Amino acid sequence: MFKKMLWVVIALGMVTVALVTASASVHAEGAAPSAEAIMKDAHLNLYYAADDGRSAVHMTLTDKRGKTRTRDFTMIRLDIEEGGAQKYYAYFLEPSDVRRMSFMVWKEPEKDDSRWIYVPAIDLVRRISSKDKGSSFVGSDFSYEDVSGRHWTDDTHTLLREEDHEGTAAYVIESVPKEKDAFAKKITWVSAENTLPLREEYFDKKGNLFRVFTADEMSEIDGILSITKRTMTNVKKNHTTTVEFTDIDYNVGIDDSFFTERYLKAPPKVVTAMN
Amino acid sequence: MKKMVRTIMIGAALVLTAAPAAEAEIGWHGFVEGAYGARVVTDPKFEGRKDYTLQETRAQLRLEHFGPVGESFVRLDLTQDQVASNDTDVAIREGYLRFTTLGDKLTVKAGRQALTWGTGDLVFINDLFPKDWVSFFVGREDQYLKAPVDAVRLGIYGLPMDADVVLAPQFTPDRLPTGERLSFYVPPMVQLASPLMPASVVENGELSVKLSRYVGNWSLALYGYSGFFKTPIGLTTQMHSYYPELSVYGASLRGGLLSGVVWVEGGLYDSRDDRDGDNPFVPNGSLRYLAGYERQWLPDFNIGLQYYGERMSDHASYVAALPAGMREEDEFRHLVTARFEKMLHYQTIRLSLFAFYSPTDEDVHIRGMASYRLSDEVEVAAGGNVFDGKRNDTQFGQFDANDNLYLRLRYVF
Repeated sequence: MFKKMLWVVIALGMVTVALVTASASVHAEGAAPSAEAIMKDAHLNLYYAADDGRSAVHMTLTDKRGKTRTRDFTMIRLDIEEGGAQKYYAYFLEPSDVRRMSFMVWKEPEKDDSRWIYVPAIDLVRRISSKDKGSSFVGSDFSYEDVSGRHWTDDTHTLLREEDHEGTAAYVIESVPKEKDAFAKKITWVSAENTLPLREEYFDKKGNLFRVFTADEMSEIDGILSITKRTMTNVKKNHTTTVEFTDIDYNVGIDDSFFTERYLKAPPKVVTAMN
Repeated sequence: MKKMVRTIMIGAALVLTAAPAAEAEIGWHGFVEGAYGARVVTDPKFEGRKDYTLQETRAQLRLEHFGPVGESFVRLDLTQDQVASNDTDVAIREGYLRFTTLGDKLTVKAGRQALTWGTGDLVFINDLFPKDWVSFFVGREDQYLKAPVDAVRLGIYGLPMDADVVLAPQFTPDRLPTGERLSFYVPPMVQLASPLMPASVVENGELSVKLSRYVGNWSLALYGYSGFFKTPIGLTTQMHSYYPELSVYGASLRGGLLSGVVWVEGGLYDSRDDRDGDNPFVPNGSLRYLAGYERQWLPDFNIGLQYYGERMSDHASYVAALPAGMREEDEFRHLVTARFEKMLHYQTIRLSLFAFYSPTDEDVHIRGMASYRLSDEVEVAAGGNVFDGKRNDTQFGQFDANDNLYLRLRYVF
C-alpha cells in the first residue's frame, strides 16, 4: 500500500516538473512578459507617470444605506526616483472643517513612510505615525498604500491566464504578499494594450473576497494615458469610495522644496492656483 | 455693539486689502455650534452648586482670499455665552495677511494669528505662545487651546537653517481660570485683583525665534524666547501677582523610529527677575525636558507616551531664602502623559483619551472624548474632564472640584 502511494507521488512529481519546465520554456520564447514585469510596468504607469503631477481630486464615500460624504483636495506628486522614492502633498478644500489642512508624505520603498499633517486653526505641524500602510486614507476605502502604490517587489506574482476583460485583452495575475499583510492574495487584471490595472480583487486568508478596485475611466493627458476615475469597494461592508481626478497636469515643474514644513503651512502657488 | 461693528469692519478691510475688486473670489466657511458643560461634583467655592462650566452658542466665520500679492484670511467668532459674560461677543480669532518676497526667501505673516511650535503633545517647553487653559479644561474644541497673538511672523529661507522670527509688540499671557467657570488655587496672602501686566512699552514685547532644518527625515530645531512667564506666578513686595521676566533657550528633535514617531525637547528657563534663585516670591530658573513616542498599534488605533521633567535651578538658595511656614517646592517635578486614539466606522467615530499624571505633584488630569460625524455637516461630541490630586495647590489638584462633562453639537458650512 505504502509503496504504491510512493510511486504515485513520484509519478505526479515528475509530471509537475515536466509541465513547469514546458511552461517556462514558452515564456522564455517571449510570448508573454513575466508576471513581475507586467506588475512593475503597471505600477510605474499608474503611480510614476511623467516626473511629477498635479490634480484636483474629488472623493465620494458611499455607505451601505447610500449616504454619501465627499472630500476635495489638490494633490501634487514628485518622483525622486522612477519606481522608488516619491513625495506627495495634499491640500484640503472640502469638507469645510478640514479646509486649509495639508498633508505630506515622503515615500521610500523598503522603509516606513514619513507623514505630516498641518492643522491650520492651531498652526500645528504633526508628524504622524505611519506603521500601518493599510490604514484608511481620510476615512475612505482607499488605504495610504492604495494612494501611493504598493511596491511590486512586496509580492510574488504569477500569471494565471490571459483573457478578455470587458472588451480589453488582459493579463490575470495573482499576487501573494511575501510578508504577512492586510490581504492574503490579490488578483489583478492588467490591460495588455496599455499595461494599466483594470481591476483588482483582494482576498483574505480564508479565501473570501473583501475588496475590489476598478479603473472606471481613462483619458490621455499630455500623451499619458491616465485613470481619471477609480473605485474601491469594501465588499463586506458594502461601502465604496470613488475618486475622480480632474485638471491633471504632468511635468509642471514641481520643486522638491514644496515638500517641506514651510509649504505645509502655506501651500505653494502651484497648489493654490488650482482653487 | 460698537465693538462688534468695529470688529466686523476690521475683518472686512483685512480681506479686501489683498483682494482686487475685479477678481475678488472670497471663500467663506465656518460653523455654528452649541456647547454645554456642567460640573459633576459640588464645589464648595461655588457655594456647593453644580454650575454650568460651558453654555454657549458659537458661530465661526472664515473668509479667505488668495490674491496676486498674497493671501488674506479672517476667522471671526460670534459667541453668546451664558456662563461668564452673559453677553454676545465678536472676536477676531485670526486676521492676517501673508505674502512672500525677496525671490521666495522671505515670508511675512502679519496680524492676529495662532502660533504653535515645539514637539510636545499638550506639554509645552519652547512654545511660549499663549494658551487658553479655560477652554482646554471646560471642553471646547482643541483649536481653542491656542489663544491668538497679534504679531508679525517672518520666515527666512535659503540659509543652512530655516529661520522663524515672531515679534509680538505686546505681551499676551495665557488665559487662566478666573473663577467664573472653574475654581482654582490662590496662595495665601495674594491680592486677588487681576495680575499686574507689564507696562505697554516696546521693550515689553515678546520675541520668539526658531531655527530649524531636516537631517534626513529628522527635524532638528533650536529655539529662543524673550518675554515673560505666561502665568502670573511672581509676587511683588505688595503681594500682588505679576508676570516675571523670562528668557528661554531650547532645542528639539523629532523623527521616525521603531515604526513610530519619537520626539525629544529641552529648554533652559532663565528667570531674569530671580537669577540667583534666592527670591522665594519669583520662580527660580529651571531646566525642562521631555521625550515622547507614538505609534499605530492597530489600524486607526494610536498610542502615545510622553515624559516631562523639570529641575529647579539653585534649589538650595531657594530653600535657604524660603520664609518659615511656606511650603517648599520640590527640586524635581515629573509628569507622564498617555494618549489613546481610536477611529471607527470609516473615521466617523473618534474615541480619544488623554491622561496627565505627576508622581511628584501626586495629581492627575484625564480627558476623554467621543465624537461622531453624522454627515459632512453635522458632528456631535461628548466628553469629560477629571481632575484629582493629593493637594489643592498643584497644577491639576487645584481643579479637583471641577470635574465636568460636556456636549457639543456642530453644523459646518
